[in-house]
Amino acid sequence: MASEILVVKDVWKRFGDVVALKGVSLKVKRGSYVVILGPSGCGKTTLLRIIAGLYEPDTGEVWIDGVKVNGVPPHRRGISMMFQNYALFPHMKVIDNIIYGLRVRGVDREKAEAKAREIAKMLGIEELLNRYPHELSGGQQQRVALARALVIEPKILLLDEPLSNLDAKIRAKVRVDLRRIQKELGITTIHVTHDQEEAMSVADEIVVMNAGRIEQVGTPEEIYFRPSTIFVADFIGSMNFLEGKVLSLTDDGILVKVAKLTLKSFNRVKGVHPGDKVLLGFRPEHAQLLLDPSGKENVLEARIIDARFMGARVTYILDFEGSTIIVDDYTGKPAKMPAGSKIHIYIPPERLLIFKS
Amino acid sequence: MISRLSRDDPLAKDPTTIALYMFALFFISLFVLYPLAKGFVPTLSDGGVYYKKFLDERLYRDAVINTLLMVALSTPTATALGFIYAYALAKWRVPFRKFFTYTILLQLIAPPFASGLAFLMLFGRNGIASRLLNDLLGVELNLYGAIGLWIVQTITFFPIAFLVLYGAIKALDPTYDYVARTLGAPPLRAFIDVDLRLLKPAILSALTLVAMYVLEDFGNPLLVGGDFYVLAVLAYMNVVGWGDYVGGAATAYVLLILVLLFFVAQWKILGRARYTTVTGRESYVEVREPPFWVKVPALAIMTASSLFIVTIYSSIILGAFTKTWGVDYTPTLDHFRQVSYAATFTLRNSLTVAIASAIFCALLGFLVAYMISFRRISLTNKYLEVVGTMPSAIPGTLLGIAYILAFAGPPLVLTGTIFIIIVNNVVRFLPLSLQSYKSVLTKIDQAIEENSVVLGAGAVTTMTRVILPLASVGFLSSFVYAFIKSMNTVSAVIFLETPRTKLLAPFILGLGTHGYWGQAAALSTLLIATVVVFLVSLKLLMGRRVRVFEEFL
Ligand SMILES: Nc1ncnc2c1ncn2[C@@H]1O[C@H](COP(=O)(O)OP(=O)(O)OP(=O)(O)O)[C@@H](O)[C@H]1O
Ligand SMILES: [Mg+2]
Repeated sequence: MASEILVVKDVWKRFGDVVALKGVSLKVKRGSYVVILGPSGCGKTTLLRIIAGLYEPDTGEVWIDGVKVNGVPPHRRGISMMFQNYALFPHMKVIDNIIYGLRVRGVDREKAEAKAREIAKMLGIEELLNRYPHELSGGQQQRVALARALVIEPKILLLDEPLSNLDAKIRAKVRVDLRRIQKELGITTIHVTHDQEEAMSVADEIVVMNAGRIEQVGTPEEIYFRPSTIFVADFIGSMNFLEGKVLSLTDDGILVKVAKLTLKSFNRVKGVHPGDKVLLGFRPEHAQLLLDPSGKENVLEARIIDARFMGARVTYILDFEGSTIIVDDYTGKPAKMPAGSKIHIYIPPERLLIFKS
Repeated sequence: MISRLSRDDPLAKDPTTIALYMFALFFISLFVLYPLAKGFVPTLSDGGVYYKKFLDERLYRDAVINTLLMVALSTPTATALGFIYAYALAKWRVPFRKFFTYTILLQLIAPPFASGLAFLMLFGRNGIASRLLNDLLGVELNLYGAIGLWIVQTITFFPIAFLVLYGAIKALDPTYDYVARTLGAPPLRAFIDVDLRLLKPAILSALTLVAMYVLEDFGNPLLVGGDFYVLAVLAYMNVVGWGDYVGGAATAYVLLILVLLFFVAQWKILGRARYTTVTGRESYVEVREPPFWVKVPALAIMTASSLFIVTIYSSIILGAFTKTWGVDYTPTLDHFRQVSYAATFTLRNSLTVAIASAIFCALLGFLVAYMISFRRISLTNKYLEVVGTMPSAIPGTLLGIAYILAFAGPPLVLTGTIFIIIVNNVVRFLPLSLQSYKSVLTKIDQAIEENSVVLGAGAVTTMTRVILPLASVGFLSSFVYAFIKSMNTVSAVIFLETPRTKLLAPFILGLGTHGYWGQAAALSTLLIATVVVFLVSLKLLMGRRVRVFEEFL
């Protein structure tokens, strides 16, 4: 058994003048929980549907469990999918919804129901089995849809924005449940969302998409700490950007000139040479405010434009040589300072990122 | 509408509003309930002898059986054909789409009896297809009667089913089908388990609606039925042939009972089959093309049907402009010339009646719909709504005969006037009009009216200057539908017209039944052309606000 259960090779998909996917390639490990993350309209649903077999790619290949499935209809791919709006069959009771996939496979009713009960129990919906979908709350509908997708024991479970129709409070809980159940059953899961917090909290691996392309694939930590493109850096959390010029490459990193300063980063980027223009990025929560800068490297002096008390943190809006910088301070150390005053900020070299511009 | 009752009515005590409300109540009582009651009373006289005939006399018994048989045959076929068209046109990529939609449109705006007439010209005893068969193969084709009528009613009324089903299929969320397929259902299974089940309510209402049309249709059975009499024709024979108005009325009431049975059946079956479909924001859907073994036969059936429709209207036009149908195809205007006096006379009457009916129908529809949705008098509102929609279930034949019986004597004498025809049309097409307004008016917030009242506008000003303009789409579609219907209708007006108020559609039907095909074809062409010209000019004049069956074009 190959370790990859799903391989997508250079898939293109066009709808009229819109090119929804522009050469997407992806490998998914058996049993992993992959989240496809990206802004609205970037092609996530399209990719998911191509994997499901609901759309055919214009060019490119999809392989599931070592078999090329181009042209294979959805019901022969061993996948199941949960839709953004759940789409529970309104004319069927919950139990009939759940066993539908088994019934069409010829499983007899008793066996199917027994299995459905098992899954329903796992999801905490045993009591709802005799209701109609319109008699359920949003969260309950979501669980029923999930049960319906799981009961057929798919090789791959596809979830299109599974939490987007729930309100914030249940969302966090359902997220945990989703992850637990996926672990218990060991089903390879591909989950599409545009919510980065959701992605971070459930994924083994995140695939960041933008405008029909995959920008980066990595663990949540990699995506957060080492975003490989400006888009990813900006889309996941927030990032301050400064323009600079490469001075030299050292053993442990890179030296960059920003305004009159020299900043050091431990993050080397391929294909960057001395003299190149680059963008430097760092996250607001990674910069530290210093009251006494003396003797430290990687320190900028900035002017306070505004400081906002946000509860757990204070957000400083600063001006550095004409660029706006945001710094979140969680220490509460510097007593709130008036606008206009000068302040020093320290950027740890391991947290200073370099992007080709 | 419940929530509306909870607010205070700002115009409850306004005298003009009250007067208009009373007028609406009075009008529909007088012209719906009163004639139905007044026509019913005499049929009960002589110890029910009129109804006993349906047990004792073969002719009457057969008419009931024939009517039911025709419904049992044509309703499923017409609905099935309508379903195929609707499903294909709503979901698939169909080549030459316009060919299919325009043939449907043609069937919807032409008089129903045009198909019967053309059918005779083709397959009747002297029809060209019949003769051709006879000459070539020596086969005697006899399609008069049940079989011929079945074919004609199917091709005539499938567009009615199409209209209902097309809307329902368009509104069907394709995600359900996707889900079924990702859960492992092959396409056909998914179609049966999901699409068909979800469409059940729409299919049932299409069936009922088609059944209604078939039950009460008069023109085609008269033309094509031969001695296969149905109730509508029998009622006509009673009145026109034997001068027995009361017998005709009794026959029409029996027809009404059949119609009501169908409604009850629909209710019973429909029960709680209405599903609240929870639809979310699933944005894009790629058309799923069916397998070729589904698509090819479906398109073949559609092509054959649409070609048949094309043949129908080509025959009519050809018949209108050639010397002797089936014998001599020399181009000529003789047919028009021969009936030119009657044609101009009846066309003028028909246009007058249709325009007047359409205007009054659209106005009355507005008044009633407005009162129902804006005034908050729950009991009488219900009454207005129920009685206002009642005519949709009353066969035209019945409403025609009831009118002659009711308005021949005091307190109100209208027989022989053009008004009785207009009023009859207005009442018969009122339910359609109410429906057009209902969808528009329910979208208007009551606050709009309150606002206008607060600003100092009177009741009438509010109604005509604020609400009516907002409801103008409803007004125009009521107007258009009532116009088309009034131009084409036969079943009721045939009893109400006099030599002075003779109308075009019944006149054509008369020519057709007596075998004057050339002239009937000429006048049919004239009738259809008039309606088309009217619609096109209205469209050019008013632009997008006029919507005539446009949702599917
Ligand atoms: N069937 C279709 N027909 C035409 N355009 C489509 C179709 N499906 C998707 N698109 C277009 O392709 C692009 C990608 O759409 P897709 O639905 O995959 O985005 P998404 O990432 O899922 O967005 P969202 O977060 O809003 O769900 C969009 O620009 C969309 O407009
Ligand atoms: Mg999407």
